[in-house]
Amino acid sequence: MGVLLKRKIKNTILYAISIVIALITGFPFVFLVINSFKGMGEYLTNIWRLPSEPFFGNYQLVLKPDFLRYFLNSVIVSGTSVFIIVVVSSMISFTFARLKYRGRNLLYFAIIAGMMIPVHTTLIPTFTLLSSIGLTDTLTGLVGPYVSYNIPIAVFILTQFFREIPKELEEAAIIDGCGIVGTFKNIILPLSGPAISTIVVYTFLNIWNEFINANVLINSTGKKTLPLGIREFYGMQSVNIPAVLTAILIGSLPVILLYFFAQEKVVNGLTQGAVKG
Amino acid sequence: MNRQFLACVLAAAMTAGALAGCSGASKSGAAAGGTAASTVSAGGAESQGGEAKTGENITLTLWHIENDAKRQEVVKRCIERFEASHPNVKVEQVPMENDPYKTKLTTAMAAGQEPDIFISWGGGWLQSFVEEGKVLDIDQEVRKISDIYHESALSLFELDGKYWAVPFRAGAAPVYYNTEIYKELGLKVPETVEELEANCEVIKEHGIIPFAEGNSSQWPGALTFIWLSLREGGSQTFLDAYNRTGNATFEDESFIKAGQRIQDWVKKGYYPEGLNGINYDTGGSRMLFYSGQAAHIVQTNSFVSNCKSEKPDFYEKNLGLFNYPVIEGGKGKADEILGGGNGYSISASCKNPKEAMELVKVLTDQEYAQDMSDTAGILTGIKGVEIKDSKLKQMEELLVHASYMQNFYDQFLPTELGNLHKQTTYDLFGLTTTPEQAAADMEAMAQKDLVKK
Amino acid sequence: MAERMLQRPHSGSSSVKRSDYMSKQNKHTGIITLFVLPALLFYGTFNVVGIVRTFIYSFMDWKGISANRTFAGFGNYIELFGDSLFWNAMMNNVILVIVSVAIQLPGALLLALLINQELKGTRFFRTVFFMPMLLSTVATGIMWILFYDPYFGLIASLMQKLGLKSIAFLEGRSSMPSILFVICWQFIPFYMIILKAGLTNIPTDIYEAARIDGANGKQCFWKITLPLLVPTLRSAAVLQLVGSLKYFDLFYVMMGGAPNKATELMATYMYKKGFTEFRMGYASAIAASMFILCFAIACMFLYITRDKEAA
Repeated sequence: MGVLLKRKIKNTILYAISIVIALITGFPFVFLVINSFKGMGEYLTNIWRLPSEPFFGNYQLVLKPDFLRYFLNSVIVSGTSVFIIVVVSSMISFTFARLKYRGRNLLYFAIIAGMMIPVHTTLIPTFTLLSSIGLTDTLTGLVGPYVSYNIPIAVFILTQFFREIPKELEEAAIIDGCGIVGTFKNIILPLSGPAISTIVVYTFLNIWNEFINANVLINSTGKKTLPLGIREFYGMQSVNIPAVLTAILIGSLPVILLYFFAQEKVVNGLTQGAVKG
Repeated sequence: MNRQFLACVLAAAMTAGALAGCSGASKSGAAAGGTAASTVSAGGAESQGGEAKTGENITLTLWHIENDAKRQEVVKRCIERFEASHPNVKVEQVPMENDPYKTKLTTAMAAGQEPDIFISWGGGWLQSFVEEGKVLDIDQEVRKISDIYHESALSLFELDGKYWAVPFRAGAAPVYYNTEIYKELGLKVPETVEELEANCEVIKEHGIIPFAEGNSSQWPGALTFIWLSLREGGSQTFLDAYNRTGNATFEDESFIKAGQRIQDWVKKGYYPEGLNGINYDTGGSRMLFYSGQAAHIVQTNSFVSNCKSEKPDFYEKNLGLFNYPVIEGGKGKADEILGGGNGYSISASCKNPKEAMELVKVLTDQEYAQDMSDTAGILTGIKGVEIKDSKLKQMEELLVHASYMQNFYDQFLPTELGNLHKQTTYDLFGLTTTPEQAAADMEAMAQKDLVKK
Repeated sequence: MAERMLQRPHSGSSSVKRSDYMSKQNKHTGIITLFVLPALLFYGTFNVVGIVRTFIYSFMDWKGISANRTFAGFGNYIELFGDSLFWNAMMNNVILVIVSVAIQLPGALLLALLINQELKGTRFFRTVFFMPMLLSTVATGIMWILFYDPYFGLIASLMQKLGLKSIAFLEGRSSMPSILFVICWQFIPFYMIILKAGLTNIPTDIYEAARIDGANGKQCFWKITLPLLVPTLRSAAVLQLVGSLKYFDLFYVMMGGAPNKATELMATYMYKKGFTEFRMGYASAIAASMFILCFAIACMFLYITRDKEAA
């Protein structure tokens, strides 16, 4: 029979399963693409089949300069927030995982507790605070809450992860003369590829798609983020479903592409930090 | 020693952050305060918020829901007209979608950062803001210009005998029907509910669903309940129950009968299967109507405008509308209609109430009304508009000849009761409650919420 | 030999001297402060204020549209205790938690193992598998409302073709399972990458050593993979627990903004009471209760599943 044949059968089965799953997870995307090329009228009578002839009106409606601006705003806000989250959370998680000081455990629990705060609870206090320092309707004003709301989860994941890293590596580094900061920079961080990339993906998605806080904090068109823009579009074209679907499609494309290319980095980052030494 | 120092530093840091948050919050909270509603006096503009200095550069903030592309054009033109005649005033408008608007306005109000001008649907929702002293009393100003508005439109925003907003949209919620289906099946527009039911039987026999209904968001179905109870009991029954006059309650038989009739219709198959799971906003019920699979749809006055944009050929060839039929033996008369609308109100904290009122007048004048009618096909509740579209004209007739326009119950009633009304009606359609139970639930909460009236 | 490698790596280091830097705390106050401060400032300003104010407001009668608040003592909590709608909502959250942990975690594990196989085209599969997470909630909600429509939906037309009668998915009893399906659809990919990250963390040498010892695939999985994945699984479970208890988005969107008994969650109930019925004090009591509940359950879970070997 041979190992080779067994492996081939196994692979074929795995492939089949993968394809089925890909269909389930991917078909809405196909739905979006197909219907983005249909006009309102055709959509209402014929949702599921291919358009009789491609209609570009939806794309014309969506791809206006405003939309680009919303996209840019989202990139700025999401990128900045995620960067700050990673830096700030990894620093404090490091102390939770490796250093001892009074009140450490209490602090850890206090921060983890932040994960339990329901979504709308902080809406009014946050808005009140930001408006008193004049940061409503600004992108900067969005970053503060976005970072804060995601710190608990980032700290949770990172602390668990850091704790799992074998101490021998750091001990070796200490013997070689590295200080705390050095250990942090040169040993812990490079090894944390998987955890950091998980956090990056998770928080980026959360912030990219965040609507509730953005809705309350942003007024002017120039400062809107993508979810606001899409929602506004939904209101403007409330009966024009294909246009809304097109907007959704275009809004998600950048993230899809980003993930497609970022995957590589994740895998590479892992193999770089070979654990057993 | 050092460990303790560290602990202190950490505690201090967290507290510092927290205090910064708190103090910032309470500062603006105090500024917003104010329980007494301020009024705009006839001559100068003296209000709680500050003094208006003419000649200085002023910015007015305007939040509204005219998000739709065509309606936004109209509003923009009004603003341009206003800014042209008031060169020292700049208007910042924020158009939004319905739901986000409500959350945003509520949050802004709570934080004392509300806009100068905002919109409402009148009734209990607006009343909540009035009771908290957040709305400027513009009653005098409105009375000065009241003759260009239809009485029914103004009545939506009358609370405790005063007008708190200026209407910019108002209309009835009639029964829209497919004229082609009626022609094919030889049906006549019904005058009574009994005739309507007879029509439905014929329609059903031909494999068509009598009513398109998508009640997922709970308000579309409520329209039918209100119509039926209005026709059964007449407008006064509901008002008496609301005002707690005499022995009137929400368990009046008109409400129970309305519930019974709805359940009767559901069981007879007058509605699509699973209507409570169909979503109106994403088109579920509209598609049934447009595709001819359903013959009628009970909807608000915006439907005319939506249909025109969505399905122009259906609009031209198939769309008809009629006033909700009367019930034989019921107390309701044909000139009592169900409808609603929107109006602009001014915040009590507005620093420039005079200019704000001027803006509101421009946003609701006859030039606006004509523009809105021509561009977007919307009925505004403002008189003197030359309506070219026949269906829109029909809608206006309903408005003009109405002796009374009942605002949607969920808008009219205090918010908690309004939500309950939608929920009980939803349950009636879903056959998960009885008409008696629904009425009893409403009455129980009414006793809690309407006690002071 | 493989078993020895399975032991927690650091437990073998008891013979090595404890790291110097870990015992010399006094010198490092400054650095610790530096590392801790930024996070605390953010956290203190927004999160702490938020939750403290929520607790304060929960003791007030407050409409939520002005600064008028009156002290109400425990009134809100007493009312909450007798509010059947709230308990109903909590039940729904519990159902969500159970379904999430029971379905999403194993599902995610299977997917993670699948993409770990390094088949040809893995990159493609990994991206497509992850797509559900990339759409915003509103987008996902709208799409699935369209899919679920009993007359014009994809599923309805499929069922028609098969000769079955279509179901009203988002109505009554079937609304909860229908939405649960969409939630699983959306979140399994996310847990898939968390678990995949955990999988990649397992050094391949262990597997090699095991194979040399004669272990087959199944044994590898149950004796090596799973045990070493436990920390990751634990983290994922906590995230799910907390996320499910707090959940708002899809239930709100897919029920047209008006969830009813079968689909009301604590978070949607809180939103309804606070923002649409103008009972913000009561809503704050709901939020505070949610917070306490979440915290208690998470702590319990972490305690029960704590590392039995002393850290």
